[in-house]
Amino acid sequence: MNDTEYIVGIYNYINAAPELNADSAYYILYLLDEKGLLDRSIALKIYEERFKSSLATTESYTNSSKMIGPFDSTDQLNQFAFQLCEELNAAKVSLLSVQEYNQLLESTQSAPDFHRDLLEKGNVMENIERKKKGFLSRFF
Amino acid sequence: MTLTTPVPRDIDTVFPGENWFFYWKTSASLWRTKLQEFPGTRIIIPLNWSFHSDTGDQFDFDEHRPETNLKKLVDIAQEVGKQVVFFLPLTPAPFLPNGGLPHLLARSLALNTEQMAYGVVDADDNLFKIYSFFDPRVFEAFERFVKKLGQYFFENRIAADLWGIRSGYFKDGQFRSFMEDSSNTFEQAFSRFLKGKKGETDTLSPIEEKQLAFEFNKTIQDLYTGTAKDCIGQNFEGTLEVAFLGGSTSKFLKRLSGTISTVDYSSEIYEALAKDIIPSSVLINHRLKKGVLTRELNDLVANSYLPARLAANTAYDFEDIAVFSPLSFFKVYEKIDGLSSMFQSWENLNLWNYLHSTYGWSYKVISSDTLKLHETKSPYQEFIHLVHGHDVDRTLFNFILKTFMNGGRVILNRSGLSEEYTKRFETFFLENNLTVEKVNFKTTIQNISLGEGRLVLMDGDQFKDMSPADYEEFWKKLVETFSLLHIPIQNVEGIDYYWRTRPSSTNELKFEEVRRLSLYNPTSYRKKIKMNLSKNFVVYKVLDEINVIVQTFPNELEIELSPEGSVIVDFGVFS
Repeated sequence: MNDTEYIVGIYNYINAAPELNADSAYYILYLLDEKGLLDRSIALKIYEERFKSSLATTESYTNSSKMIGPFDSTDQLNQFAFQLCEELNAAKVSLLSVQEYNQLLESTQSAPDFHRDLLEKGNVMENIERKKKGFLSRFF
Repeated sequence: MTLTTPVPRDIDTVFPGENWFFYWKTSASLWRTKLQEFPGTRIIIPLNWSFHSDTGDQFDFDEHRPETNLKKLVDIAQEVGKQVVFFLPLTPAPFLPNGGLPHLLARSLALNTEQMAYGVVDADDNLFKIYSFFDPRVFEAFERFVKKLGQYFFENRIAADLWGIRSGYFKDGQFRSFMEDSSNTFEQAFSRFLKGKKGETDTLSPIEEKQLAFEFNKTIQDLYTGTAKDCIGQNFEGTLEVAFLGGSTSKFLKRLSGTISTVDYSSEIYEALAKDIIPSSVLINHRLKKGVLTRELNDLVANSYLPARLAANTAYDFEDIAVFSPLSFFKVYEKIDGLSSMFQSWENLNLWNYLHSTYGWSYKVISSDTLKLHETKSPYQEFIHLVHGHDVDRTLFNFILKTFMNGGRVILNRSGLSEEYTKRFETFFLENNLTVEKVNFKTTIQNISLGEGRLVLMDGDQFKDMSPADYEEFWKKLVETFSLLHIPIQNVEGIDYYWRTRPSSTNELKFEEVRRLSLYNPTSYRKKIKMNLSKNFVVYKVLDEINVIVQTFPNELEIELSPEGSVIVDFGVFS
């Protein structure tokens, strides 16, 4: 399997089920890598195993909207994003809220610039371990 | 292989797909040459509001730039034998900068239901953003524009048809309008709307608020439509919904990474056709619109579905024996009111999986907006109507009874059926002395027959812990009781296919109907499919063979499609 170069995550703080008087929480809306939208199965597995919180007990949260969450805090979100980055051996992960995404889109004039901004202007966490691994680590 | 960046051909830029002509992207002095070169007989001209008005106050219809001279454009088109149809965007238009708004009015970004700003990349790789149509200044300016446009059409005696278009995109199989907005501008307008309703609604539950937000959105859409209709006058033919392939946020994000392919778009064509929404490929990059995707768009949209929708105010003209219309065995009703999705859906009952695997895209999804298009009974196509109880209102109740009494077939899922309509159905059965047969198969099923008409009531709430295979079995057994004439296709995974139909002509009297199967292989693999022909079907014609081997055996048809291969097969059908 080829390593992932980068991951971009876009999240929002929302009330996913107001009709059930649920609390607001953080949700990941989109995850991308250089090949397009990221295969969600690995992300979901990490979430289910390591992050699924008490907030997620209501069935409404595990809806079909393809969001990943809920997360209690941005710290949890960052941890999740970094663990995903490590799992996929990606060089870095950039996490943006929808408000940051909207601001970047509004101020950008071309698609390549916007794409670059998504990678560079979010909360960027680098996977230093990957840099330490040399060429031979791909074989051993 | 080329070592230079491909430059889009000018013809692709001005004719981006399905006969649309972007008049503002070329010099007026070249209009005649371009239109002469274009092979189609009908051209669709979307109107670009911001091209005719920078500010929203002053307008240019040939006062300054010759490219704004629509009269000249229509005259040239007529001189070179083309029929002109205008499309006037009534919602944000994703193929135009700022969604079509004059730049002084583009103040507040519209946000989708995920609160993300709409981003769109067009066929020439330009990045466009969508701005809110809920700003009162935008509506006032729109009103001034359509008034001026109507006056211009009238003074210049432009007789071409004009359709209002409502632009949208597909998200998870659902059509979403670019008018949907959750920005502050929308919220401010919505709170004014709520204040107006305050007597009725002091405190709102989240469900009530959702319903009112939907009602408000629809009201504003109707306001734009009504204003355009009033100002344009006789040229105004009606409104059409247009789904822009690749217009969703997920496709936008995928496109940014440069990894989007034709396979990402083709399913949206079929989703749109099933929902009676016009698919448009004008956002798709020219490089991808080669080969099989272009053939799908030409065969299924530009040369068949689109002309049929523009020809009349009914979806299909059954009288025209030369025209193939989509083959539909099922008409599935899905109410669109912002709330219906919260109740039991056809997705929950695994209906879509069953229909796709057995009948492909041979079904139509009907909403309250398109119900009228489907009231006409086809003389040779028999439909099964599927309706949810929670969607049944007076209109739908009358529609069900009318269909049943006229020999039609209806499956009603009782889930959410109100007490009032439960009683009305019971009264109807009693008054007409109808026998209700009951059977239990995974749930309670009631069958009522009257002549050819059948009404099947099933209790969707009684399904418990059913696996997808259980649902498949349920639908298979239930649908088999209707004895539909159909040829299943084996090994069809990855292949795009679509069935159409027409009545037989006078020299085809041995058949009752001719069915056309279009097959396309968008994958990079060779695919072999098989069809077992029952005694009701014969292979009539094989057309447009590209990278394909078609072999016929007694009672069997085998088709081997190479990558990018496609073929059309006509079948004669008799009972």
